[in-house]
Amino acid sequence: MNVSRIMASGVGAAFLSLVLTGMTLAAPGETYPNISGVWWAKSYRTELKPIEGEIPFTPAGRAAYDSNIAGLRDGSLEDMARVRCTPDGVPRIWSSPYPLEIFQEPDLTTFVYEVNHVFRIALMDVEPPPDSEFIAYPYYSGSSFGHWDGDTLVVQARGFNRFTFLDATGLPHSLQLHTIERIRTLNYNELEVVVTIEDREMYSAPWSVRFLYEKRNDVRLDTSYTCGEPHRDVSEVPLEQ
Amino acid sequence: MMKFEWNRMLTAAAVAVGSAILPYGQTLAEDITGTWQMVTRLSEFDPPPLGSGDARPIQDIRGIEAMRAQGVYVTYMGDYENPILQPWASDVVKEHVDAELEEEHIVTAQEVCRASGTPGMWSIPSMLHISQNAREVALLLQRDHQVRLIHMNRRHPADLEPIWYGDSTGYWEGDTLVVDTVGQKAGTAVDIFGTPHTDEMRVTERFYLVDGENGQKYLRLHFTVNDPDTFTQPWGATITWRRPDLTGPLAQVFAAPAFLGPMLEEVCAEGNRETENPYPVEARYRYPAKF
Repeated sequence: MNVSRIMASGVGAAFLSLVLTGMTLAAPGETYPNISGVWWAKSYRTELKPIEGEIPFTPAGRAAYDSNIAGLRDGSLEDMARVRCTPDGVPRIWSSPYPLEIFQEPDLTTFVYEVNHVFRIALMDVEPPPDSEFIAYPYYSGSSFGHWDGDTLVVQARGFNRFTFLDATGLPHSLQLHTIERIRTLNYNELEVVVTIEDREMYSAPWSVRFLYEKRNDVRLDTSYTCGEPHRDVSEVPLEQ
Repeated sequence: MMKFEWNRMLTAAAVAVGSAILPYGQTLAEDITGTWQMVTRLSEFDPPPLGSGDARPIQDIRGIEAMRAQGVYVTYMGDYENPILQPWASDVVKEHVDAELEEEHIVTAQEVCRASGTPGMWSIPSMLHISQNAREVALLLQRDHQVRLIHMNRRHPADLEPIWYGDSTGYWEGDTLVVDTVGQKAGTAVDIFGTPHTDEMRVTERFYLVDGENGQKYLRLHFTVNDPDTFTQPWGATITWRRPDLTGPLAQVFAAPAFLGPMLEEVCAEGNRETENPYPVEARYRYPAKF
């Protein structure tokens, strides 16, 4: 007997509706892991360091990086995320000394970052459309699509515009950038985010970076974060070299 | 994959019986989460509910019918003679009106995508998305990806420094989400007319569902503004939203194609400038940026 077929049919759904009336709802943890709440980095990075080895630049990628470094140094290239407070992009948004908050709903996972008050909404269990669909919608944060793989939330993002860097040093990416975030709790108080970067134009192979966060129920995000105004004191968050 | 389909069937069925599961949030009798499109109106707030005791909000001095006749869809000239305004507030509103008469315009924070606090944030239609976890309800505005967090079942901090959105705490009163907001920094407008406020202002918001067209539920907000230094009495208004209408004439303006998710990424920040980055305090355009 193919149970999933029965469930998929309208009859199955109607039966479920009757059965569920008056039943207790599933407790948290029985549907998918809880990663919601406020998280704050244990340390942060200005320069991304791959989990393994060196960043595998293509010749074009190396040239673009050198050009970005030079442009940022002499001021001819603007770091929009820090000068105009446009969204940082992925994965740079994760390497920030400011806290973030996660909201989970059955069909959406929402990430709210204090820095530049960015939010990203990941559609759950939706196959990402081909890249051609995003040509008309190039976003700073891309468009995100998530699904659960056991205890890990896998978020695929694509459709990035060209106004972001991968990190504060100007690490480049092209419009072909795809990122895959693997997010899970290591224990109740720690969140691990591993971001895999795929961009054939700039990097000859996928490479990954890792971020660690601490659960902070004592923190309220400052969503009044405004460009050009004083922000929260983050001097306690160490810079990773 | 089958495990997840079971979960989705559970959720869908539960929603079908009128009860929403929000696994890491409140279980609601009616679900206000999700995406909402403001029911279009002429930027003036709708009047407060009958029997609320609130005074009506400031309206345009030219009158709605006159403006409709002219085909004007955005209003900027507030009635500065409205008796709910304290004299200094009346002067501020009149300043805006005088500018309009000179064919200039003094912008409000919401118009230039800056943090505008509440109720200023409701003065321009924008797609709204409501998310929730066990501790917070998030109000996400498409307009320049603004965020406002409501801290559920908690108190305001004792040492609150005024900030643009202040501090919001909330609780459920039956099917109504009741939000109390204090500590909003003075300098923003509470409406499209530039009406000011002090940082003593207290705003109470009540979110609840009402019956709309075609058997749909609409989201309604009734807010009340208390600021005796600015207003001679509390005044209130309502805002109404519906689920996004992807077929109507405004779909292309406000609604994202379904495959992109509930909202467009709308970034107005290109005009802003981070003139000081106090972490650390040093020259701007420092390379590399500190994070």
